[in-house]
Amino acid sequence: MGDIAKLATVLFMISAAAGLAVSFTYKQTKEKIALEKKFREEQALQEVLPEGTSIKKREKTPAIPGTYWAALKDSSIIGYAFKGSAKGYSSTIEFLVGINPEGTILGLTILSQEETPGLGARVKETVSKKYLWNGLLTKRERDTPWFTKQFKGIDVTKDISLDHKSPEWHKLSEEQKKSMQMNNTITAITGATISTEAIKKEIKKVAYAYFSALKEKEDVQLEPDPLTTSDEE
Amino acid sequence: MLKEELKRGIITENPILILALGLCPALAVSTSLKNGFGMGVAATFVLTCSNLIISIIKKLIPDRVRIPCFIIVIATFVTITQLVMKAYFPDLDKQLGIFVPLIVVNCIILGRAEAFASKNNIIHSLVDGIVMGLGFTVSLCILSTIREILGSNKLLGLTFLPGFKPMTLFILAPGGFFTIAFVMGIVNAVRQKNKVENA
Amino acid sequence: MNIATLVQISIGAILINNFVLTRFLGLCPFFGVSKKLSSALGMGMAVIFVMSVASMFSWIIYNYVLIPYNVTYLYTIIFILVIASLVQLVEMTLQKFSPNLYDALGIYLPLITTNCAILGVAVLNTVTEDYNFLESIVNGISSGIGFTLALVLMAGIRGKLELANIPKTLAGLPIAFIAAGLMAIAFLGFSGLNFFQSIGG
Repeated sequence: MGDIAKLATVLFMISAAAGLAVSFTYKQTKEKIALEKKFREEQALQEVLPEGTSIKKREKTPAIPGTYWAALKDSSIIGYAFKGSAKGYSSTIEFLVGINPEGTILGLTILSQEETPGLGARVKETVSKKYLWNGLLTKRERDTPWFTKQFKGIDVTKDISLDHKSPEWHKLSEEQKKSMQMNNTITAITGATISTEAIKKEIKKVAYAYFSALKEKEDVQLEPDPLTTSDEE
Repeated sequence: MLKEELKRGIITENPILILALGLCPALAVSTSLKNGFGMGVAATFVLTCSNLIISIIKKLIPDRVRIPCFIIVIATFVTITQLVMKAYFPDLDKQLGIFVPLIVVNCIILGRAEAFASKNNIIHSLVDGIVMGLGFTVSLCILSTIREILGSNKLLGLTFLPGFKPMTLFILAPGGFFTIAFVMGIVNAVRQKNKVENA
Repeated sequence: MNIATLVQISIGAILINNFVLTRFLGLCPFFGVSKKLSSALGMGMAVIFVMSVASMFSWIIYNYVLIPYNVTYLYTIIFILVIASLVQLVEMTLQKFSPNLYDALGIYLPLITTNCAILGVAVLNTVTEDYNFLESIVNGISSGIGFTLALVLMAGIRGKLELANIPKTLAGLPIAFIAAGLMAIAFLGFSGLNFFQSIGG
């Protein structure tokens, strides 16, 4: 009997010591972890909404699909940010899209994805001129991935077309990029059409869902085209 | 003595390439040098601390419950590592994902606790933890470098060779298997050559 | 009860995200036990059982104890202790009721504790994917089946490899890794398998 008591005591003491060590670490890191989360959220919002605006978070209500953000400048709303989840090729692609009240995309950022590296995962690829020998000691810049950059200026109220034949957006000249934007066209990632299509469709879906809900709530001058599911290409 | 220990941990008893321990994280996180190195450092931290603590309390642990005791100690340090990573290295934490908590079942750590720390003095155990961790990190870095360069033409996120079209296969699952197969093969070849020369 | 989701989870765990060949979980026993078909099968069964029961218990503890008391950061410690106890239980039961299997598995049985796959599936069900109870069990069983599938396939291949003429430097583990790599390429083909996508919308 004393044997089992000894075993139990030792286990208990070790567990107690372990518990103390972990709780201590937890208390020390708790705030920093929460701060990190907040920082990420803010950073994502900065990427999709214009500078110099104050961003207010609005909570989900029975009428509105989810939490969203409104960017205010001089107390008038100049943009919204919505979260969306697209069913990608091998994972759910979560993104944040900024749209102004007229329906033009202000910015897009991918929050999380687990697509195939080298294919769908290239949604987060940035084209950098830095090589190993000249990039190692220079400061890291936060560059926007070309895939999300090309969505800037696209109109969600019109049909967004996907150009399969054109080379990827980052390889186009400035004029070609401008003409793509005028034609409401985006280029796909070579070999990752499904991921590209998924994001494109989901952006329109999210925009429609929120704008029609918001129309009842706020004074938004937007007439989004009703989306039909025969939007399958 | 330190030099011998270093040689043991990194070369003659390298956990991944010679002892074939810790394979799961070795293949899963070796997709980029940054990840491989990060995992190596985290695992070394846990290994060193757990070796140290277990060596200190080894007389108190009854033999019958030694494995659960080791596990509690190791799991504690892994949890501490997880929290510190989430706070100060959140990007790395996201990249390593599920493999951070899985450090607790890294065969190397439990193996060294059982085979060494519970039987040797404190200084020895501490050194053992450090050199085995170093060996783990070194092999992880070797595998990660090969996979990152061949698989994405990058090293540490910077492009390596202009105009080289990388073989994505190397960052995917099969690439991990092939890379370790060939590195192990080379290690075997070197060992056999040494055996022949010494015979 | 969304049957489509459950089927998707199970196909996902067995084929698309096979624990061993895609997720890299469960490699140590994978290379240790896969030399003979019979021990591979036995190990696989033990793993399926432990994975399912571990999924159940870890889910219950996570959602009914850790979350309400706000101590989710303790999940690593708690889960591994649950698994260690479970394996101990399985060992004692086997020793009593099936001594043959117990002998055949030998040292590999306690090694299931350090099998990253078991802890992996527990963490996946709760922290990573946040499945509900039924989804966790289905994922647990399917992951076990996936592991067993890879293990049995590997045992078959290694059996044949024993008779082949392999260069000395590649003999043993390296050639096993190459075989696993080739299997992994085959399983990569499953990554686009998602026939419920249209139903999901």
